[in-house]
Amino acid sequence: MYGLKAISAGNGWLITVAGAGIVFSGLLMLAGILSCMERLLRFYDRQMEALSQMRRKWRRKPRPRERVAEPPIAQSEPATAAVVRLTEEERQTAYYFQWITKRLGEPFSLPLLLEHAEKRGIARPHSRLDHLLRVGLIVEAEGDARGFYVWRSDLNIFCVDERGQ
Amino acid sequence: MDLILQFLHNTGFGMVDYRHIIMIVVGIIFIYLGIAKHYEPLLLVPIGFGILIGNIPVFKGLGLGIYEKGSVLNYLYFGVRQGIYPPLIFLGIGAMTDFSTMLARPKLMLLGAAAQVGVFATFLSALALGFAPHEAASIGIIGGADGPTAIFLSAKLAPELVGPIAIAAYSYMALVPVIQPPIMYLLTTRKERLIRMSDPREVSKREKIIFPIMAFLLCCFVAPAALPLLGMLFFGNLLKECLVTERLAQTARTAVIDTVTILLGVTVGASTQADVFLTAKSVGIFALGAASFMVATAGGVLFAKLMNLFSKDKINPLLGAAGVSAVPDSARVVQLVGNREDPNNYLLMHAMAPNISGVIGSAIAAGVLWSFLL
Repeated sequence: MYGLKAISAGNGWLITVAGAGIVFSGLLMLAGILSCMERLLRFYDRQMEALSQMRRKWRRKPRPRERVAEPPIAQSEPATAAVVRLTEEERQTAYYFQWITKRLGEPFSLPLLLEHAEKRGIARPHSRLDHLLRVGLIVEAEGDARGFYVWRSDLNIFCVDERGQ
Repeated sequence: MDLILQFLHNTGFGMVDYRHIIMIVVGIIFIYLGIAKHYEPLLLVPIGFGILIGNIPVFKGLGLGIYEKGSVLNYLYFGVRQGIYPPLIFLGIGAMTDFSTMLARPKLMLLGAAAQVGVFATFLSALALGFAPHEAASIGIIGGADGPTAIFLSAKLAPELVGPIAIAAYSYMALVPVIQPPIMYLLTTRKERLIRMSDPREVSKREKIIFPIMAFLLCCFVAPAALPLLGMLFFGNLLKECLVTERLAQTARTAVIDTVTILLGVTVGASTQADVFLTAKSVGIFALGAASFMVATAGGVLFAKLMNLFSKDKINPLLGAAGVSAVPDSARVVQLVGNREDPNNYLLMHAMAPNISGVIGSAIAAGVLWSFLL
């Protein structure tokens, strides 16, 4: 059997229409979900941030009597640790770089770190690493290890939004 | 004297006929194209050599041929027959592929869907030419321009056609730089080819990690029969993106995919024994395969033009040609054709989106055809 008869006998029209419809609607649905995903994730981040702010606000303040009971702060200790302000995205990037350097070991070489970052698909690794160097999260090692780098462990990372607040 | 004559009679020289010679020449052409022309060398060289292996005339019953039970080649061919190799190749592809361009601009995925029109148009044409429905579906999937998917589906639906279908699919994939450009020029104006795409947004690591899980669940709920292919594709991608399984991802994108490519290439090549391969059906498959590639390319380009009618942010219609899933060759062809018009127009990155969605689309199409014709 040949021609249109053969197509009809083999359910060709039905399979074609249904098949093409399923492929198209499957990819259409996926495209739709992907285009929403970024917005959903941003919404989720905002909610989490608002929640953590509320938690901080609602945290019970110590009563005056309890304050008296607090041990005095030693004079030699600094009142506050140094703070680095990073956006959520920068903090996430710093986390990825830290994850890589855990494997490389400290002190680490910057070119090697960059190579691994590129391999693992971190976007714009050069500029991001440069930023971490500029804010002082990564510093050059001293002594024999000069030319290699280490993470500064005495810094507190403080999350800020895009406007720096 | 009789002994010597008998020996000579039993050598390849004694048993060879013109069909073996034709296939050996085809094998040598494949090897030549791979080595000298750099057309898909990782595929054409193993397949070409496999064709040579499969077309050395040997005694039937000696346990040497690929179709003889118990032969070494038959054991290796088991992976093709049972559809084991294609999912493993997909695992490696997943572990190599960066989906970020697609995640940045999901609407380009529709071009990958549109290019699957080649699959269904060829399916109809094959039916009209008198092929049985299961054979027609296996031939149609050549239009998906995805070798492993074509092998997977034909192994399930028409195992006797795996050889010609695989050879046709890989030959045309290698010939993408020859087949696609004339169609792209024919269906687009110079003005359209000059359209520049805006830079895609940056995609966060978190999106890249969520994507393979979500896409796998969605696609496999829509077309469960695509599970072996898409499951491995997205699993491989998750290994790559999650960062904590780097060793597994590294193995999947190197040792696993390389080993399987060698086994797949050689056994598919060897399955083209002259007596099985040189038939009228094979000629039909090759003709339909070429047509399906052209229709798929045209489908993608025309759909991009259609999208431009409704979209403010214009798409360069050349990107539609990358909807056929020959990764990354068709994306490279788009870049090449776009560059001929404007040397500063960089389309490669954008073309990867429809290219990768074409892989997903052809796997879904294979799953759908399989479930309809099971």
